[in-house]
Amino acid sequence: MTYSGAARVFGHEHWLQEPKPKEEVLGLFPGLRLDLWTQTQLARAYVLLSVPPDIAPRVLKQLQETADNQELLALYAAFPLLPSGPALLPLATEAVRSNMRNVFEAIALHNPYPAQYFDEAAWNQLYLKAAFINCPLTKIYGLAERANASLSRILSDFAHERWAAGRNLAPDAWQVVFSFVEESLLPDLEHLFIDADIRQQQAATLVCYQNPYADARLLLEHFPMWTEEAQEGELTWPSLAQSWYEDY
Amino acid sequence: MQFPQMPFIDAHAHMVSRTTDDYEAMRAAGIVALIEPAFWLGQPRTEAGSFKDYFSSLVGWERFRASQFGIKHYCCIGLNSKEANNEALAEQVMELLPLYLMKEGVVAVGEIGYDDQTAAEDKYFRLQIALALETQLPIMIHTPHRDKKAGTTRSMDVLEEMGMSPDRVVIDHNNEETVREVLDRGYWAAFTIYPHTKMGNERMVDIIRQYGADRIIVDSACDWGVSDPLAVPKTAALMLERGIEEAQVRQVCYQNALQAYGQSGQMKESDWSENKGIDQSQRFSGTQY
Ligand SMILES: [Zn+2]
Repeated sequence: MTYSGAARVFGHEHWLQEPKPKEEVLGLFPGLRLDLWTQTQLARAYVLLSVPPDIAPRVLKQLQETADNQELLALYAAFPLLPSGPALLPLATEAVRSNMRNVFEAIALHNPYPAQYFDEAAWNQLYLKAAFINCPLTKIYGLAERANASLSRILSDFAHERWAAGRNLAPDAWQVVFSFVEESLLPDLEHLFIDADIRQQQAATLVCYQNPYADARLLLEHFPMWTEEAQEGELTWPSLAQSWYEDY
Repeated sequence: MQFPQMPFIDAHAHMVSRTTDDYEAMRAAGIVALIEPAFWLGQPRTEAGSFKDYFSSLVGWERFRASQFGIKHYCCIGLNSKEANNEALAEQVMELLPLYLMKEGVVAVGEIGYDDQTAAEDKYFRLQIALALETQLPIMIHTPHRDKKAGTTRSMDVLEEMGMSPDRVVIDHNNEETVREVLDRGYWAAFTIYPHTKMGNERMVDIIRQYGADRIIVDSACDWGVSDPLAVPKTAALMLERGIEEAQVRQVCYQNALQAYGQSGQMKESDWSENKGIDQSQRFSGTQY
């Protein structure tokens, strides 16, 4: 009830007031965007932290089963702060299954918990679902560390489905394949390079640019139109995301 | 059909039983907010867990679903009178209620009251009035369909006996026979517009002519039965056509519901007037992933 009642005391305004230096807050928990939290969210995290770790998984499960939309969101966003760590995994993977977009985003975006605790299959599900529902993928924490060969393969299959339907993936979806480029992925990259949308071409440029594989280099020489931008750091995954998502 | 250009609130709608087509049509007709009271689902529940998941869906999934169509969703939480007759279950549901009553967007305890007017119904009705007093929430009353007049009077007697202030109570499903006493005793009187039976929207026009617009609320109570989610805008259109003043139409189809349930502190006009419209970014492109 305290957890619910927080909303009656605190509002949904952001808690961080200028001139409190934002960098200081961001440095506290890498990957966590505390600066985007509301006052109510912060108060709820405080309530969650007061639950003794040995009973936390049970208490949080009850909370999850009876929570409203905003309460779920505050719960999942606070996971990286809670001492129970891996014991919260069943709840966290349930969050990924949520059909409420903001609830899914609370576990998936700006949240270091999945990168730390999810196994490969769960991680890949999270990434794929985010790509499916058009979440800005660069906001997922730990992408480079958690990239894996299986994810590259699944992503390639997904791209083929989309292409068959006359649609593209978000260009930043490709950022997880760069260390796994091998023969089977080359045709996909070529497909991106000849796409009419320059953002697809730019995605292929970044993948090849970051990849040590010789054939990727060759491809880059063949399609050099955006290489300079990549070299000069003007073209990055975040800059690409910015040009793709409406309110990034 | 052309609907009047004004905002509407449907103060009684069971959206868990409705489709996305309904949501789309409601928004297009001008409904900006609605209230979904907890009720029974046609099929009796046999486990407390079914209630828990139902209440959770009212504050979770259904709220989200409505937001995808630019409609602000509020709810009332309560144990309905029909299922209060399963006492073993009712006891467990009573323990669940406090978990939900303090949540955001919960605007009343409801819909509660009498169905068959049994002793069990009376017991849980009183317990829930006490809960409303404790949590300082308004109450939405479901009046019985059988022996309606006596049941409505009895509901008000019990409310007053328990110390509930009439101006914090909406008595719903009124008709020509009950309205006078409900208004005279200081309650809000809601009318449910049913497409084929009971209250039709023609009769509603006469009621406004006779009683005016003060403390009267029009709703659809659309659910899993034959019902019309556009009952409120349709009734508004008919009222205007029959010469009811626009200010009065606005009162019964919007303002009064806001005022009555706004007493919870959980419902404000700014909740939807500051809304940037339909939140397409929140919509998944398919049914599930
Ligand atoms: Zn109802």
